Amino acid sequence: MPRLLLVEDNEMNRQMIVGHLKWLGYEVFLAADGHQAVELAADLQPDLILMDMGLPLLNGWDATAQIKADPVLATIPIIALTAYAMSDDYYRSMAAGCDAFETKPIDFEHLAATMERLLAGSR
Amino acid sequence: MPSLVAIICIFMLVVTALTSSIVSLQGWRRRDRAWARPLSFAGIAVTIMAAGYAVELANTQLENILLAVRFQYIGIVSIPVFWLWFALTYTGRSKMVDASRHYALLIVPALTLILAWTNDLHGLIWQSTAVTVNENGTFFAPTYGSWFWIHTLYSYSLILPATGFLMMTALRTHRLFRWQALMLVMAAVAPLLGNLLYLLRIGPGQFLDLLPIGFGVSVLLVALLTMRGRLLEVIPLARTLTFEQMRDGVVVLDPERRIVDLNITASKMFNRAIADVIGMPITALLPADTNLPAQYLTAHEIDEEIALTTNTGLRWFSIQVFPLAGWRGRIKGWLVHWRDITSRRQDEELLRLRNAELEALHLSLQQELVERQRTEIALAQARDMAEASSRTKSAFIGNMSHELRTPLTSIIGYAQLIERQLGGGDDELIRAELEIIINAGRHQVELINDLLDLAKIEAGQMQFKYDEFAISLLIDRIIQMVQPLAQRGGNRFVIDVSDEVETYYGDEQKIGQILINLLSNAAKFTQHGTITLRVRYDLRNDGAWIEFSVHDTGIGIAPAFLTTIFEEFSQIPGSLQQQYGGTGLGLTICKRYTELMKGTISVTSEENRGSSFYVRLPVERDWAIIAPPSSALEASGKPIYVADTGEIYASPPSR
Repeated sequence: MPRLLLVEDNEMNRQMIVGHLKWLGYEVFLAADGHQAVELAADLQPDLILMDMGLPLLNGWDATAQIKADPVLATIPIIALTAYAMSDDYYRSMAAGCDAFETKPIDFEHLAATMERLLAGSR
Repeated sequence: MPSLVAIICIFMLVVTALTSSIVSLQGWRRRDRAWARPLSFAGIAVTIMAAGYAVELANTQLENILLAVRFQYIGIVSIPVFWLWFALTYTGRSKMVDASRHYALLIVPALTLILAWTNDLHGLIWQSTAVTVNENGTFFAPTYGSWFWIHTLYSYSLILPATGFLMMTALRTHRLFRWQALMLVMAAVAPLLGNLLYLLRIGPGQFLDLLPIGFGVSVLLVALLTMRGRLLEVIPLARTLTFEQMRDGVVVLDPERRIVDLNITASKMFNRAIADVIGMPITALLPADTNLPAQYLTAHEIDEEIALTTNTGLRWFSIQVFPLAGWRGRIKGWLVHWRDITSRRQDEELLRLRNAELEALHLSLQQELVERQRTEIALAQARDMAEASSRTKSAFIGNMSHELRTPLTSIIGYAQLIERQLGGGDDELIRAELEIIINAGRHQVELINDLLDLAKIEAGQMQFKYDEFAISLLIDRIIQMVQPLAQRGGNRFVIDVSDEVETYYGDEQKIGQILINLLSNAAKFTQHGTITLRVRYDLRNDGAWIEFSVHDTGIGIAPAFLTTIFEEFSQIPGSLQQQYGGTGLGLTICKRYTELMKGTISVTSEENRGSSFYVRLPVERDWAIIAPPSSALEASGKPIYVADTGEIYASPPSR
């Protein structure tokens, strides 16, 4: 069972997304801010990270950049999962090191396809 | 045998004659100077006089004595004339007596000379001629006739002013030249002194008329002064000329403020002859109609500039009055000096005006500069504010997008989660109702996307990322996005990409957005038809273009709506909108994007037959130039990838 790290600060959405991911058949770990995200990424070394961008303490762009700067973690695919969904935000996320960009509200079918593609690639 | 006294007298006279002749010669050699010629003549005259006198003393016979005396008279009569002439030229007064008058002065001496030689006929010079003999020798002792006194008077009337002029020059001479001045005084008074001694029978005067020796001394002294001393030959002249010819008016006053001297400028100024005003009070000089207050001429000391109305209009004068202090500070008189400074004043006035003009110009320039700086600052502030406002707007739009999306994420996400958790069968009603929530939420998201995109375009904050990208990858992405829509309407989906089209330099994301928009529209309005995405070069029109076109076989657009189809919220009316959904902003955004990328968008349509949208973007990269011509494009095989009812039959070439 692929292990996912979901980074999401909004509790309501976190529960909702976890529901969907579990239903899709993933093991999900949770982080609520950027620092936790970086720590858990190192501790758990998940197969994939779903990263919100508008996070407290350390934002998602910086957290992504930190994870990608670590040679051990750099291969973990990161999907930006954000309500910052303007075209400029796409570029910003990709520049930070994200491997894909999914917007909120979430198209779960599309997200599932993206996750499968990335997991297949990293394996 | 002459006595010792006679011998001494003769010796002195001979010495005088010799020195005078030398002076005369020297003077003649320097005759280029005005005063040298009369000095030379005077020297000759003294020589003749002294030599004649010596001969007279050496003789005892009356006839011989008389002959010597008559010979002496050549010198005696001419000396005063030459002496005066010399004094005038030497002290710079030559203009007082012009050349013709110099010769007129010789008339009386000439008459005297003739009378002396013809005395035997009339006795006008000597009534009787005799000699007296004493222990000192034989002396000529005539009884003088009437003309002799005329001659004497005439001679003194010439000698005295000459003496006076020389004395004045000597007294005016700067104290640095005191010795020279003293010599000049001696030269001036020597003849008179000699004559005085003779008349009073004092010293050598007992035996001898010392007049010729006096003149001899004078001539020698002057010769020494002028030829050795050098200084006096220029200074008195220079001083006098300066005084006379200076353009400033100068009046010298005595302690009673009577005019002692004035120069030519001053005399012209008051239009009075110099001779007429000497001795008059200074106030008498002032014309009756002058506006010059008398105190300017009678003040003790003044240094001012005043304006006076004269017959040549208003003129400016600088007036100075200062006392001439004599020995122990006693006032000897005053010097009144003035200068016409009208032109200087005019220049100053002009300068002042020019300065004022420059000042004004400078000021206005400065004001203009300040104004300009102010404008620039205001402009910069306005620009900064506009930029800040745009940035703020952009940030606001971004945050707004985030804030609007977050609750929608929950709404749609939870609706979908419930949908997943529902079992089959009896929950169909709930499933349909959840679908309504989900669709409404999605529509809301689309509206937010489009509105905020448009807002960002309007704010000038929409950014474009130009890069070279592969067209095939773009097409892949588009197929993924549009496939579900095409599936829904049961349409054939045809991709028609010209072989030559491989890469394009532009904003891939924006072009993708435009094409997805157009294809979504096509799918929305087409049921069981064909939707075609075509990409090719267009080199037929000016410049090189890449053309993306979307064709459908759908319901088409009524001509009435074709013209406004790219405007905001221009949607097909009423029931159709409800049926097909959409925000009404998609085509507007497509048009804005296309134009911002320097391209054009156009549409052709036929009702119930279908529509075609053409997006043409400029090709600016070098590789476009080597692209094959249109004929080759037409002829080339067109690989067609067909997506039919959701199935993709083939992959695009580069994959």
